[in-house]
Amino acid sequence: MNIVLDNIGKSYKAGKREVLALSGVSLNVGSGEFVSIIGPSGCGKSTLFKIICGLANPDRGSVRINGSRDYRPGDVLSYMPQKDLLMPWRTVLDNVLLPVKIRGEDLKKGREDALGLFPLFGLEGFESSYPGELSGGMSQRAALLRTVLAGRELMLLDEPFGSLDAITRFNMQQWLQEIWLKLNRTVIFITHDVDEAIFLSDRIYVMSPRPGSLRDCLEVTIPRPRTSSAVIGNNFVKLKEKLIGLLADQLPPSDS
Amino acid sequence: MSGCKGALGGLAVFIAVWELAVLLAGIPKYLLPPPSDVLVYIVRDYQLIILHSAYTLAAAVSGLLLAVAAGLLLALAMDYWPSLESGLYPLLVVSQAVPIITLAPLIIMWLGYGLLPKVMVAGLICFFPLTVSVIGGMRASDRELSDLMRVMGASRWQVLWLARLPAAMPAFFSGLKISAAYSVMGAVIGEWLGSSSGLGVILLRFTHSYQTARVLAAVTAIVVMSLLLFGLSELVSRRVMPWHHRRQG
Ligand SMILES: Nc1ncnc2c1ncn2[C@@H]1O[C@H](COP(=O)(O)OP(=O)(O)OP(=O)(O)O)[C@@H](O)[C@H]1O
Ligand SMILES: [Mg+2]
Repeated sequence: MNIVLDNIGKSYKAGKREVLALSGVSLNVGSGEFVSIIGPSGCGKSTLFKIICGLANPDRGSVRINGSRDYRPGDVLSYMPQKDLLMPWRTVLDNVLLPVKIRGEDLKKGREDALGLFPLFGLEGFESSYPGELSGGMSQRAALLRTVLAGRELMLLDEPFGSLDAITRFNMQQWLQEIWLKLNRTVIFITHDVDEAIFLSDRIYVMSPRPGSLRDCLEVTIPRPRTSSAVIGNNFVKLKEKLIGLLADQLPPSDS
Repeated sequence: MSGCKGALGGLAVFIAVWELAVLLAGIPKYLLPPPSDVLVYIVRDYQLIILHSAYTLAAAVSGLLLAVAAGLLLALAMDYWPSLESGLYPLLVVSQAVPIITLAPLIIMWLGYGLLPKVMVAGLICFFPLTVSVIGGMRASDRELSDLMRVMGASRWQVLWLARLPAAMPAFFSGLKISAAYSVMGAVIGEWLGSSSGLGVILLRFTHSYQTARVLAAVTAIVVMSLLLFGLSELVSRRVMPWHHRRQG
């Protein structure tokens, strides 16, 4: 698994104006890596994912997955959008099985796999609940489980913990690290949160405000599995200082 | 349930006031009979009423089911083939400028005096609100969900069947509840224009002979039937959409 973004550019038409969302984005992610993209709101992070997923076409540049430009997204990646997008009319179990159902794969086996993961995702006992009965954090975990169960090697996670409180958020980050270590997937992870990025990533790209580009990159070498005490370790604090410095250096977005 | 109790209380007060007003003001019975008289006729004529109600109910329910099937199919087809939608949807809306009641005589002319023309009138009246509510529900369904499904590799048909149609179910069932009441009205209109049985027929017959209490007895049967179909739609909706009702608590 190998994904290469080469000089991606993308602009949107907003009425008469053209909004340049991305400009010259290049990125290289290898097998089994956990790479984060951090940047201010509106800098084009979600747009980048939409381009990788084939939901938006770049104006310039190319995306190659395993060397190929015309991959079928459904075969190589699973995408977790910013919203959980659970179907209110399907139970939690049926929701997480949606990718299995769509591909016409073995539902019985899928169900077994899913049920095996419910405890890990803190969803045990809610298999036959409806999304409307879940808390915000549980909905995000269900969406994450759906993404994991899609079983593709590359996972694109767009602020999966965006709407969580600090405590749940930290638990979820530990979960995600656990899952990632266990399942050996490649992850590209979008976040606003400095601690989250450092805690989870092998590498962090800092995206500049609109037009977004990946200017700086930070390697995180804190050994895994990282525990809650890693957050106050010397290494962590230094990286955090550096990352906050990089983010502060970014010019504020000019809308004029 | 408390709303149900409130409504029953309101109804009781309304009936009591009516009864007293008729008694005290001395209104002639052929103009406005007291509710007690209506009740007497409901009891006395119950066999007649049930017989004709069954006929009307058959027409109403068949019309409703026909409209449900046709409406769902058309909505699905229009969603799947956008060109069909852009061609047909305006026509569908414009068709509502033609009051069904003006078409009913034509339908009777074409289809005769049996059950079928009543089914058609009832069906035509239900068809529009049902189709439009399903289409509206599909249009309002979450675009991003469809996108996500496409990324998962779903076909257009799967997106329609697994996401857009279920998303339209709440809208469909509100359309169904309205249509359930309309369907009885449609059947009665069909019967007015020519029939040998049905509540519409006895309604006309009693009106012509100024048997006002018996007219109101037939009206009561129509109201009860509409409410029954309405309640049945609500029940089906609860069975089909437990998620919707559970969330509303
Ligand atoms: N479909 C669209 N049409 C027009 N403009 C769009 C569209 N999608 C995004 N944009 C614009 O592109 C820019 C980047 O949007 P994007 O959603 O990628 O930001 P983001 O970095 O994900 O922000 P956030 O962190 O708030 O989620 C924004 O200025 C947004 O207004
Ligand atoms: Mg975003």
